[in-house]
Amino acid sequence: MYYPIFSKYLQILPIFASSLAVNSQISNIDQEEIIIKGIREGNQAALRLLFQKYGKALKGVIFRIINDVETSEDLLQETFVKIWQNFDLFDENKGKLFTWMLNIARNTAIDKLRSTKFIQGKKIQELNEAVPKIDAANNFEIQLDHIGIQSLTKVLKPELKEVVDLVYFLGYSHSEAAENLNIPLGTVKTRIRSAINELRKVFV
Amino acid sequence: MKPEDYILSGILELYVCGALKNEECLEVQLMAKQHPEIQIEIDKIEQSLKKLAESGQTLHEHTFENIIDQVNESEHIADNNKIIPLHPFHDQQRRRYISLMVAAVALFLLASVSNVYFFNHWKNSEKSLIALKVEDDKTHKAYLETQQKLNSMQDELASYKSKDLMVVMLHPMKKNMDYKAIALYNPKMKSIQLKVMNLPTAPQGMQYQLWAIKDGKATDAGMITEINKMETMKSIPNSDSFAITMEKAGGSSEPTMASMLLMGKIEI
Repeated sequence: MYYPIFSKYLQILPIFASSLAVNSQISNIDQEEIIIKGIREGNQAALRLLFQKYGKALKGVIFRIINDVETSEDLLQETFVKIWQNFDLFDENKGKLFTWMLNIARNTAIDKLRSTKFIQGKKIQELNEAVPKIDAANNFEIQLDHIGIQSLTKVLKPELKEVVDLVYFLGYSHSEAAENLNIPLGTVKTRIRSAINELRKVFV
Repeated sequence: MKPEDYILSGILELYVCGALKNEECLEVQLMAKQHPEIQIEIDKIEQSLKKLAESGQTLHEHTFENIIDQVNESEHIADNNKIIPLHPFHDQQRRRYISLMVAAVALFLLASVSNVYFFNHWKNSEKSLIALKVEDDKTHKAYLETQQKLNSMQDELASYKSKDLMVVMLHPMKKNMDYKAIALYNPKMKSIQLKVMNLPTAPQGMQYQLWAIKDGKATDAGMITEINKMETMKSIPNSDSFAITMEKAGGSSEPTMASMLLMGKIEI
């Protein structure tokens, strides 16, 4: 005999255990597996764990694109609703969960940036394209450098920082970044490697 | 490529940022499966990038509640659009029973109606069959009668046609009487046909009798039951002449000579 209600409680157990152990010995990967399984089964507790784990980072990415505290808050909520609703599109065989969510957050913010309402509201007249070009250096600096992050990005040399901005925060592809910065593909790779190495020293 | 060189190349950072093409992603995943140190490095890069993005950010308590509210609201709308019946299985089963019941009742009614119809039909058939039988009996009787008549007529006709047939006229014994009789005698067949004409009806208790006379000896040849009609009489092997007398009803063994009315001689 099959008891659906009973099995629903069983599903929650690993989520509950994992929420107790966010900072304990349970490895990142194991915790992530439990969260993915929980969300696939429609468990909102799993979504809460995901939010606790990645909410701040995704909000940071959105904020660096949109540069508005209130709008970032709204877009963060929108991003998590999208993550929940489109979770069946996530395929762990094609990439990392973090990378997948990063794309959703960036696209949500860039879509907002594109919308005429937002452009009019912000009165950004120079913004002809959705993704600001790096050669519009001034605008870009203003958008990405603001309170809080300055201290971290300051540790990076400008040529490293611009690669991080494009590839990580704005979601440029490897080749797009190389084209935009007018540097070889290999240089993009070595610069992002150096940038992350530099940051690691600060974080750890 | 050695795992160390692969790590140093910077491709893993691009992978975590989502800046690689699909085929390059597959290559990184393959390498990560083969070399655990690459997988560890990928996780470290993710942590660093996460921390970089997190810097300077704070999460509000209500943010997640808002997310859940939005999720529930959209799911509520989706659910409403679906309209799931409360007891789908139960309803389905009941609907099946109802349809079976309707079919059974319909079948029963149809059977009842056709029973009544066929019963009436059968009764009518029975009636007409009886009527037909009666009719048939009548027809059969009539046929038999006709057949009998035909047979006797054929017999008569045959006897008339026969070469051996002798016509014997019987004449009245008293003069001036217009009654007479004709006897058709066939000695081979020993048969006698007799027709008496104009003879008055015998009085009550009396009957006319035919006699065959051979060498002066009279033999009873049968009673005459009807006047003006050809009658078949008794078989007589030999006879010279015929005579008719009036006798008491039922006939006599010896003729009453005094009451002899008609007589005829066979002429050869």
